[in-house]
Amino acid sequence: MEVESITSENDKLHVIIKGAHPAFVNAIRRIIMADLYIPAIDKVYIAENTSVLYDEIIAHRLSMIPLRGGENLNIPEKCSCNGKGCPFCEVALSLDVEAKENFSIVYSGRLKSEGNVYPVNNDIPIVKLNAGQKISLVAYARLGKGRYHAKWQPVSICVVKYEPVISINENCDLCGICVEKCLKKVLEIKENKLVVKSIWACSLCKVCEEVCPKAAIKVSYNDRSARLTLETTGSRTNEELLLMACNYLAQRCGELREIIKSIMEGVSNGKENTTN
Amino acid sequence: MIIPIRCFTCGKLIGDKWESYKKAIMSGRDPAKVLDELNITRYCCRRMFLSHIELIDEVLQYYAYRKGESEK
Ligand code: SF4
Ligand code: SF4
Ligand SMILES: [Zn+2]
Ligand SMILES: [Zn+2]
Repeated sequence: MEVESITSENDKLHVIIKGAHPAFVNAIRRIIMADLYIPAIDKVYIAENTSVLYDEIIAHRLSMIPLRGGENLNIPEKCSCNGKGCPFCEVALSLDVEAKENFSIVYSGRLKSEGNVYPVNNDIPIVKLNAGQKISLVAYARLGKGRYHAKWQPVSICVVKYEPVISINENCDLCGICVEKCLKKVLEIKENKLVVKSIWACSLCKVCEEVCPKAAIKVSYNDRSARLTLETTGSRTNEELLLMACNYLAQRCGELREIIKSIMEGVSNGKENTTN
Repeated sequence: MIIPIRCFTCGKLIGDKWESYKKAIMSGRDPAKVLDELNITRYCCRRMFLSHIELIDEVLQYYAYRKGESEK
């Protein structure tokens, strides 16, 4: 296995992994989507709300705000409080606003954190208030994973793609039909030769194959090479997520190895084979 | 009612970009170009902007009116 290139554009990260079956890369993708712990608001106590939005809508909006930090928090299910909530597994964020003018927007920057958990930026609108309207609440953020609720999913997209392989044989007479018909603009005629300009843009649609009058072009894929693309929502960087996913996979494989080892020892000691 | 914080489909954070988007299109710019500049590339997120109506502004106007009436 070999990482050919890591490129980032805006919030996105592309990692091209050679010599790994896409199924393996997909395991990492699924871990990133569903199994990494990040913080999100999970409990909201509303003392006062005279805004035009219902309490539930505000609580839901708060939960959707991506949060940074929280690395030192306990995982609630494994905390000594048994998931009830305590200062080791929760961070309180409070919001107290009374509007002075009509149409004033309450931004995520007004959330006061009592720990190291913060909104990813300060310009996310939570609610709009008229003069005299008031909001007073305490929200608790805790760690969770995408499997429980989408608010804990650290990525907006996470995709695995096969490496496309385009082969052009000597029958090609450079008519240019395929260049014109390819919607992804993958092909190009350069110095009297049909060449592939951007192989990863190819969607394997095979339109070029169908339109070629000489049957000179063939599209297939390499199932020993894949590209993983992820785009974080901001609570962790893409690189951190990738490392967390690799650690998680290694840890789970370690657990599996221990179980198998103990079963094998049981067998060689003449005990009954237990599977549980 | 009010701009959703995340895209319904993919979960990208969009709430913080609404005001700059609105300001730009109010000045007569092409929404497609503005969205490109804001790095809103997928059509699930783009429709969140294109189809959004900030109804909370209307509701607040009604509340402001009613408050004025009660103070008379
Ligand atoms: S398979 Fe489709 S996307 Fe790929 S080169 Fe051919 S026409 Fe273009
Ligand atoms: S359509 Fe076929 S013959 Fe024409 S340029 Fe493409 S590959 Fe060559
Ligand atoms: Zn606890
Ligand atoms: Zn989207």
